[in-house]
Amino acid sequence: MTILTIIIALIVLSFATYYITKINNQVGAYTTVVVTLAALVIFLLEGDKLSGASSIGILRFSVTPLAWFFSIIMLIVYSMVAFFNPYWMKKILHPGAYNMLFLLSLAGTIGVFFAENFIVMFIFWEIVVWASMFIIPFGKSRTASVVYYAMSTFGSFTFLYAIFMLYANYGTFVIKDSLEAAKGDANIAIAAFILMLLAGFIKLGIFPFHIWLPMAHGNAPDTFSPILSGGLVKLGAFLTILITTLLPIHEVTKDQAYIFGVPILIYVLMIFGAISIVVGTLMAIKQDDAKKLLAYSSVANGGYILIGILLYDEMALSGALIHIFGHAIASATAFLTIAAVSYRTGTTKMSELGGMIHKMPITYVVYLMAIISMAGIPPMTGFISKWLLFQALADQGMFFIATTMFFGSIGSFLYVFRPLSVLFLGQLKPEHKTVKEAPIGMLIPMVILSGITLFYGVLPNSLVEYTAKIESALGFDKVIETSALVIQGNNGDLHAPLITGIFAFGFIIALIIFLIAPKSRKVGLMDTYTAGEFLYTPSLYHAGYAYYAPFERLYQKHPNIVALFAALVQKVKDFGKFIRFVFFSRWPGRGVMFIILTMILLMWGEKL
Amino acid sequence: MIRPVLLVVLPLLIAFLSVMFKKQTKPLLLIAVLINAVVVFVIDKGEYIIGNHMQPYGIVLNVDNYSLYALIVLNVLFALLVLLNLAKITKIASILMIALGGLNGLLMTGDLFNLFVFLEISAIAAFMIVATNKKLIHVFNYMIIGIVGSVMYLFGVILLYSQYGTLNMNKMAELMTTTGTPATYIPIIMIFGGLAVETKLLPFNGWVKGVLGNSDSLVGPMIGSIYSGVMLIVFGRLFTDVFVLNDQVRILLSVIAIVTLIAGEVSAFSTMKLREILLYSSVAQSGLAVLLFLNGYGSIAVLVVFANVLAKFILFMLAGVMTNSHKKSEHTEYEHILNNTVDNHDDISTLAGIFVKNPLNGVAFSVASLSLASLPLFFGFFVKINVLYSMFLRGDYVLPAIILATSLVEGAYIIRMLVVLWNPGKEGEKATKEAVTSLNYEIDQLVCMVLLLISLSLVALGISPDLAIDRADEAGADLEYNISTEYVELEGGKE
Repeated sequence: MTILTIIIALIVLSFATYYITKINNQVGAYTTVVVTLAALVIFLLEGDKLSGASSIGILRFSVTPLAWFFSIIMLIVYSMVAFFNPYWMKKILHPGAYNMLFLLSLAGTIGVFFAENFIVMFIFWEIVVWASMFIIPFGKSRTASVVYYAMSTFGSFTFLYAIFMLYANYGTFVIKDSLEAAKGDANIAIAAFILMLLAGFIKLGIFPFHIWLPMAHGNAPDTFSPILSGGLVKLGAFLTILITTLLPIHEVTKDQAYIFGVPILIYVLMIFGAISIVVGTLMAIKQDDAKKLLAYSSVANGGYILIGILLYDEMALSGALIHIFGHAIASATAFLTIAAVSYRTGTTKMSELGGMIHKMPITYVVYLMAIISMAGIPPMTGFISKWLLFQALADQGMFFIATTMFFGSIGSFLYVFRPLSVLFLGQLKPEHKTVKEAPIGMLIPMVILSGITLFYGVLPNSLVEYTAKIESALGFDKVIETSALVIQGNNGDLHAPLITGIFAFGFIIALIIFLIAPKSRKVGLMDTYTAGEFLYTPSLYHAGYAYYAPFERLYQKHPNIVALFAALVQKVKDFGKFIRFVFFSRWPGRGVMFIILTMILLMWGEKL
Repeated sequence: MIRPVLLVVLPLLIAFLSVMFKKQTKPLLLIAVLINAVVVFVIDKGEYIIGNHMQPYGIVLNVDNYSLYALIVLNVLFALLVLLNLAKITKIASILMIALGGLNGLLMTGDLFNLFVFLEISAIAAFMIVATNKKLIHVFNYMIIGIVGSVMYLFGVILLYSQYGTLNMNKMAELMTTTGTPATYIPIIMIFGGLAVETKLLPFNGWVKGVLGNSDSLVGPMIGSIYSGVMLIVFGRLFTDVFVLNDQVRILLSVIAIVTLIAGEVSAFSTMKLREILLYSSVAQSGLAVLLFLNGYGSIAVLVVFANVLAKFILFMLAGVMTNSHKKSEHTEYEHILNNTVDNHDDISTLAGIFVKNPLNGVAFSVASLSLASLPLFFGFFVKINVLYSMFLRGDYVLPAIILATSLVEGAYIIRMLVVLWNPGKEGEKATKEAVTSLNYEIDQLVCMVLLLISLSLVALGISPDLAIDRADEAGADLEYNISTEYVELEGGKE
């Protein structure tokens, strides 16, 4: 199978799915499951030996380990999320369009990864944007999709500008060749790099372009938020890796002044990553809506990934790649658990939920495993990537960046714990007494995803070895080393199975104590804290009420970047209103006046 | 093979006949537009001299690739528009035929004064077509500004004649070598001003809002798509083929085009009314096309015009139908007319979710607007890519930045419009069937299907743009100062 065949098949199937869904909702939804799973199987069976040979005109593809790695992430996320689609068919206004755009956006992402030249990459990049942009308004917000589109397109257009700028100078659209040629002129290379990086920044949700993430992820249909956070955001990481390593930016900027051992441009960009970590973390802590919380956590994780890429050594890139993998899986899982809860209860607001562990224990365990990975605690994948990233930061001696990363890691304990304690633990609401565990069709993908997170947390070596392969394909002199079960770093080795063993030992001890200790007595949940009193304002007594109030108070007067963008949009609108008022009147006299004035100006203009 | 003059004469002849046979106007109109739509595919290329006078005397019609492709699009779309609005056309059948004759003449004529005559014919026809809306103050506005424009054009032509002693375009192109002195550039600016009224350049376009903002399914596509396209092609003929522009004049006029582009997109962004969004968007597109023509990107400008004409045809037609929608009430279906509530449904929010009821129209509308927003899989994408490509090839880094910035604004308002029309519901709540607008509109199945087909052609051209790009290349090759000869194509394109 060639990449072209797969992409065309996906596009054709996406349109076919529309008609299938028109005939029967459920069949259409299961088609998305079958198609995404089939694509995943093909990719797994063929490995990165897939052929990119066939082409139509400029539609050429080349298979690289990096592209394969990203496709696998994307396909895992898409195929697992697809299991949720059948349950949402009745909840979505346009089920046919949803299924179609779902597959179309997948086709787009694969096109982006394997594109051989920039034009093809841009075509598929834009297909992903508009396909996903039409799914978002099926959810709770129309504005969100416009903001998403506007921001994405801003990035796309700077990207396009850079593509043509490189073409005008070097006469080729082929990604490798044009970046190779750009090395010659540092100014053009840096300009193109920044313009392209903007596209990556926006997709990845780097400050100050992060505002679309909470809007889009928070308001998209529950089944599409995991795709956005686990999948599409990672397109930005892909582009960033591609241009950073193929250029490579460190060589181009080597004449610049250095800060902490890196060129000033790189350091400034890393600071944006660091700000994203801090902003994402702080904003996530104060969210009440679980989906918005996870969206802000994606912002913070985008920061980690960016820093890992820009550090540009074998340890850091490997860390970034594994973080992309780990975060994609974990955040998709977390979003899916919230989707499952929303499916049963109809809300994602934490203040309206509580005690779901009693009703949805498996969902709870899945969420717990996902957040362990997101917080970077062993034995999950998230720990491996953070270990690698910290190693790289320590090697290069970047204290400030490392500090923000530590801050983000500690902060992530705070925010991932909030849904855990408020939504899953806490008091079960009376109206949720009849809620059942998520249906089996939803549990399967959630459990599989948790399994993946755990597996690569315990045995990360195959993953690390693949990142080594990617690094050597990208032209790294030195690649990350692993032997048997150990990952070697400059400041110490990581023995993941051993750590898991210790954790397992602790877990077993705790389990034994739990089993032999006297059982707690069950008391009616409402009685434990009301003591039989009548509650006039029950919402104030909810565990989720003002959860981190003392902490939030520390930064409650923070400036809001959304206001800045809103003001900008308002300025454009005001300008438009002004023009409409002045030039488009119903009075012919005014029109004639302007015509005469302009003609005078034009004739005079020659001498101006 | 058939002589091109037939395209002008036949509609005019039938128009006069229809005055005599008042009861048969509709069939006569149909005959005229259908014959034209067929004949245009088999007309002779080359110069056709009326009255056998030796050039540069006499009137000459010039059919080269540039005008031929424009003629094909014009006559086919015109026939479609008439067919789709047949029920509505009662009193203006003769006028429509005159309009068709005038527009055909505009595209073919090789004579500057003759062009003025056709300009007047088609403009007068346009006033009367617009007057069917009964918004007479806007028609008056249009007329006054239109007449000012015609006078300026005529004045420019007179000045040119006094200098070069000919009105023949070919001869003029030979004689004109520079526009360095006031004597040479003032007539060109006058002609520019005259055409700027019809091509909707700021500030010559005060009439547009009133005319297109109240348009129905006949006036909207007629003025917003067909007239606009023809005028732009005529503009391209004069400014890329006949007149020589020196750099100062080119920059001066380009500034007007750029201002139009920016002002159009920004104005469209600032309004929430369906037809206003479309009309300001077409103002902006005109600015873009004029900018391209002025700078010599002839074939690319042809692509821009073609893509815009197709998209706006669908959009204005559907907007005209949709804004006439009304609540289903048991009293009378004419109630909305009596209460004069027709115009109140221009706001996007009152039409929220109307495509849920009319998905096929929704698809056509969405495809056309996505093509306008130049998203891939649609024709507009390749047009925009080629606009940028040819500019970068010339080493121009400023215009692409302006075009991309305005495209961003354009995309934003188009998406804002589409998203609401498909997904009703309050902000913060899921889009549901309950929130769908209670308004309804009647649309003929034929209209629905034809628009869908045109929109599918935009998709087909988006997937395989080479056909259109090759035609545009041939058309551009006929323009003397055309500089765009390389394109990004899908098949065998650049790597």
